[in-house]
Amino acid sequence: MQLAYSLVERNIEREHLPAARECGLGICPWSPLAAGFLTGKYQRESAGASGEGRLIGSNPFGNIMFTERNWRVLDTLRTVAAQVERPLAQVALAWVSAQPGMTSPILGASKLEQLHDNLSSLEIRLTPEQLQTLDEGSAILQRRGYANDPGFPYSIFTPEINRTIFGDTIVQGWR
Amino acid sequence: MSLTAFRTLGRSGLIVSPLALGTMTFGTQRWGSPDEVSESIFHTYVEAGGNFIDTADVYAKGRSEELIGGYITDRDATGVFPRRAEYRARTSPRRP
Repeated sequence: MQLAYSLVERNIEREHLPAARECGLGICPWSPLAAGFLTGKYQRESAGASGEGRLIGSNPFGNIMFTERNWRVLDTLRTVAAQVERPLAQVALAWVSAQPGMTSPILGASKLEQLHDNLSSLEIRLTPEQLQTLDEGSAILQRRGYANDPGFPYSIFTPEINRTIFGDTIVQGWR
Repeated sequence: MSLTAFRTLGRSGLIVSPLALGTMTFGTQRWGSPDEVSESIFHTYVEAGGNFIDTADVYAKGRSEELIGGYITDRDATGVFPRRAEYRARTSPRRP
């Protein structure tokens, strides 16, 4: 199963992760670095963020990564990365790899150095204490108005997305 | 651990590397990679033992798949499974 999963996107823990374990499915999480947010290359500004990367300017994510909560997750990641003396990206990937049900996180590198850096995450073994620090610092928030904002992946099940997949053909879902 | 610390993909029986190479960057203009960089990323991943490539027809409007097809042909990359293409190249006892 392919789903977004990272320290700042843990919604699949509600339903998909238990279902995958029950059904014997491996999970290949995409965006394990949250489109680069978890590399630490973006800096918090009073309004939004600055930095060199695809999240600045026009992009499919808009400014959704730059939330109070996500900046706090990044602070926690910085703390653990300093302990293990590794770049943030490697520690963020090591956390994803260490979660139950994960088969192979999907790397996204636009530069060769990023690939080398990402592959080095395989050398990291986070201690139970470090994993716990990251877990607690990135716990899923209890959402208010849940029906209006169901969270990933339900938020992408929209008529617009359906049209890009099926065109104008009407497809009756399984029931 | 390295990319050859293979594991099964759930109960499917497919044998894959512990990190998959996403290729949405291949052929993508603004935040993606120039083609020569995509090529070096692909070969570096495969030479490090990786066998698990993620691509899709929507990545760069099909350009990602075309580039990967070319790289596989160029190197005769034994044992690479382009996952969404749902076919598998030759297998060998050494490299699943």
